[in-house]
Amino acid sequence: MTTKSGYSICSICDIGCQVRTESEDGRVTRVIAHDNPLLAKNICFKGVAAPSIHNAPDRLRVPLKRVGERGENRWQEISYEQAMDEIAERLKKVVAEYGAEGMAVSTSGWNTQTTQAADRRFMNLLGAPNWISGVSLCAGNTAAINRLTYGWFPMGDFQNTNCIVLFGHNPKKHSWTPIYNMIEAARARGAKVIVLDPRVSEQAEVADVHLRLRSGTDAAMCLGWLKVIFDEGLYDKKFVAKWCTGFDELKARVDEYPLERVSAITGVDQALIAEAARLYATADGAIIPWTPITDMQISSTSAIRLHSILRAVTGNLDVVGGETLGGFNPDIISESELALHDHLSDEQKAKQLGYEKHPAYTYRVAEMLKPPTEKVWGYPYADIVMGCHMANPSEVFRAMAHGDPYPIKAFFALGNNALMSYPNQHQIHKAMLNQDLIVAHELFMTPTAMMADYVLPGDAFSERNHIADTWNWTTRLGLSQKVADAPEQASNSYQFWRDLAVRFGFEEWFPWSTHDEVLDYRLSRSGRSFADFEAQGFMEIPPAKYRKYRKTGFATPSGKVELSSSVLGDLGFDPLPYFRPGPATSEDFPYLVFNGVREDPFFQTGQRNIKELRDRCPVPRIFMHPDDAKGENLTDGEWIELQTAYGAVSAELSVQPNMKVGHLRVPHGWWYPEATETETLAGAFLSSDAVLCSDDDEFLDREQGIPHFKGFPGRVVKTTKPEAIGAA
Amino acid sequence: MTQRSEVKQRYLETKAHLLGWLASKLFTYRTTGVDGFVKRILLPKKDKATVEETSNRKL
Repeated sequence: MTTKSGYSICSICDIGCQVRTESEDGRVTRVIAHDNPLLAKNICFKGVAAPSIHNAPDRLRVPLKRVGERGENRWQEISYEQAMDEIAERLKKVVAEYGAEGMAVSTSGWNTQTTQAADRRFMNLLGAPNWISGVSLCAGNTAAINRLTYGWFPMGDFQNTNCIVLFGHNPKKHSWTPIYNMIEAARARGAKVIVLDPRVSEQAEVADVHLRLRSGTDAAMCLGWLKVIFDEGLYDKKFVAKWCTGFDELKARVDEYPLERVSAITGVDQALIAEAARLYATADGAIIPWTPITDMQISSTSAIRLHSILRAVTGNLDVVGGETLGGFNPDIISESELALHDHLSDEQKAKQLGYEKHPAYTYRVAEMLKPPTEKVWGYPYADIVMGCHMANPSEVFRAMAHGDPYPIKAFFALGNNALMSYPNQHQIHKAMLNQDLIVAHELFMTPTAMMADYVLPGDAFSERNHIADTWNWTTRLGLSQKVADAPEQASNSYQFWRDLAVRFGFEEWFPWSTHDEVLDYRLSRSGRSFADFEAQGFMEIPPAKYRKYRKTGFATPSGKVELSSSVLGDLGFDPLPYFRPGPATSEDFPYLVFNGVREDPFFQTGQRNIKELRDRCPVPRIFMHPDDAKGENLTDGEWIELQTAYGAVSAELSVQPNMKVGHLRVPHGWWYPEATETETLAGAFLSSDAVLCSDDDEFLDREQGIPHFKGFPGRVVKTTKPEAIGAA
Repeated sequence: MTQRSEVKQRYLETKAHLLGWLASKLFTYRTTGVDGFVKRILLPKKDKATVEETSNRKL
């Protein structure tokens, strides 16, 4: 028996815990805590379940070709080579007929992990601008919007901070685990925690200040904080005078939001708003860590910008205990470089969907930021969290479904259950039905994969070497070692794109024939190979540099922190942040619904087929306050249907006193692998929160074009539980 | 934050640099020399989290 053990970056979720993985005879047997005490607590039950996931009997092991109707889930097993040959031929036909813009790619870097920007590289060589990802709703869009204000996406200095502000974010022991551990450590040494959440979440239970704001009112709350901070002179006047532009304009805008108005919008007492603002502004080092909650609102761009502005005006930008701007790690070639963005012509960039109407994270803004980005960070394109050069997903699915403004006829989904990951699920379904070619690359069959023409098996984190660089969010490099063998016909996502590129004649642009060779290439910047890196340690963190702007300025057009955004102004948007209300409740739809919430045992739409995780959360549950449940004559454990003007999901009712009255919480991404034979697309339309929201323009954030997931009107009615639904 | 003087900023930056350097030593494999000494002195006793013990209460 051959046993191996190694250091791994777990990729079951997006946080990337460093763990140790063991294997026997090429099969992963155990994932355990890291042997370095500083990292040992960064593990959750999802990571521990990795052997069950990687060795699951229903894991995809052989390439599949559709033989039934699209979505019918009938397949023929074929070889990897045949699959790639046929995919290439069919893609060439689409490109010949519709142009390179006629292909779209949707991917989740968290799941695939090993793409090394090969997807963007291939697309840019081909001339294809329409790349989308779930990061358009989660971190990637935050990165892009942060760049508008000060040119990079900062990371909080949890180790030294004295105040942590959590906008709806609720890191727990089994969800965003390292963040949870860092918050706990900060709290233990006396740091204050402010939580803004309609629900009394686990973090809110132990917070120093808890603001139970109405869902979707983050921007108004931030404007209220700024009103207090400006009125009471609690801002860093020297920094603002020397390094910020647009202060007077911002102050005039903030004056439009007296606390009476903010209190009326958010539902939070004025005194409590003021107390929180003072606590944040006067802490000796404070952070507002990234939150997925602010990422998904109708005023998301303004709210993200307001987080940025709060950091800057209180002097918390790029200082110890505040939030630091990392830049590229000089020891590794960045994915931004590997992607060859300069290779895509201006004409094709302008065809990127979203470029005209919702350009904030498209090539349009990326091009505007090229000169300052190159000046400050040394390279003109910054793919931070992969989120700065994306197409708009809603526009892409509209083009796929209706050919508007042009047809998209080939769709690739890698590590991405696209059917359930974006709003307006019925349009996405229609979009997929209207494709000439769909390719999925996955560990397991998903509703999206069921819609494909070809399904290729992917590899898992125990089966490959990797260096995790946090997609330029930080400068940290982490080691992940191969200890197990992937199924013979499986491929990593780099290999997939490279093999496709070779079939298009791009071999000279992909001189690295394997993923390991790319790792060597990326490390060549510091004169090392992967083997050298592996021999030295399991993590590298270059020493932090603070207040770098004193030498370089900020990577914005003005070189300063732009409180009033010149980029947004030039694009015809309001350059100042504002609050825009979401759709209002009514007699027919009296509750404010927030969705997009993930549950601890799962990452997004995954893992419902893994028994040890599914047993922890067998069915989706909608949270409701006891008073509301009583008013509706509903009891805990009943099966209910939540309805909006656009769709309905059914789930079990969970009556929870910690909910805010008038609010409903819907979990994200539910489907039922056990119902594959009995329900359409394994129940993809039964409980999926993706059906609840419209992506019509009036419900989208103006600048980014993302939907309002946090606070839209809905109602509930009793229903019966579908028979096919049960534990995995 | 608004109370920080330039002297305090520089003190905190220097301290953070030093701790960052020490941390980088803790993430190597070496158990001898300066690195090993730093690990022996600074690292807390190994305290692995047990997964079942850390289970969340009902969601």
